[in-house]
Amino acid sequence: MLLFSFFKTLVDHEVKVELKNGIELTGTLKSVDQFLNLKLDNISSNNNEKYPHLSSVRNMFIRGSTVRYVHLKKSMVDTNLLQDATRRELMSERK
Amino acid sequence: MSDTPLDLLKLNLDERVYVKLRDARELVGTLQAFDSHCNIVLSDSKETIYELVEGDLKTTERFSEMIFVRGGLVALVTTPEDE
Amino acid sequence: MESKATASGSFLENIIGKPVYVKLFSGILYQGKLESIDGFMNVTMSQVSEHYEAEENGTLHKYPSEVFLRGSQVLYISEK
Repeated sequence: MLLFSFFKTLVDHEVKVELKNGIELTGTLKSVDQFLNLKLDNISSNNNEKYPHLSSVRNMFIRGSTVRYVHLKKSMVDTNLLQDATRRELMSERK
Repeated sequence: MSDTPLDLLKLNLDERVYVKLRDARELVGTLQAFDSHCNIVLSDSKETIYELVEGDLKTTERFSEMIFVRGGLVALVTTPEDE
Repeated sequence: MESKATASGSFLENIIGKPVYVKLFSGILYQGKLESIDGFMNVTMSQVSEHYEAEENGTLHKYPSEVFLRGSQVLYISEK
């Protein structure tokens, strides 16, 4: 749940998603679910030469399991809050 | 009773970590978050990609100020030796 | 919780602190002292050396600090 909550705080921010097949997509994060499936809007594909079929795609639903990385800006993240949430998540899973 | 493996990762929060991924990739960065799937968030990370190009080893380095890494790709986490 | 008398339960509890081999699906073999393990086969080890397929093939790397290995990548754990 921790990373789900984390991604919810990133909604309406611009992120760069790198898929396992190498495709990189920059867009506005519009929604996220518990599987970390992502909905992106206003997409600009970073590699149009390689994947021209994506150049006209403006929005996309990305299956979470196909994601390799999501690149973010430091300014979007409260690192102290995130570290504390990680510690708390581990405690709560211990039952 | 004894600490679980994920407790080791907890001790590394806010510290530099070395993460070995599948597909001959590795990352060094400051550990900001992780969960039981090993989804990881790193800040100030350096990724190194190892590839064989026509029989020669090619390494590529990429930097990211904040990166989320999908847990399924993670193989190993430890402390980096140097940077 | 993990102390049920299952084959994996008792084996995994009894080898904590012992020298072990852990092989990953990638073929990389880790040799070291088993520090902890959980139900997902996540493992931590200390004094770890890394080899390809077998220890006889030479050491690829030695890790000076404790190493976490993700359970889903683990092919087997064996007592040395």
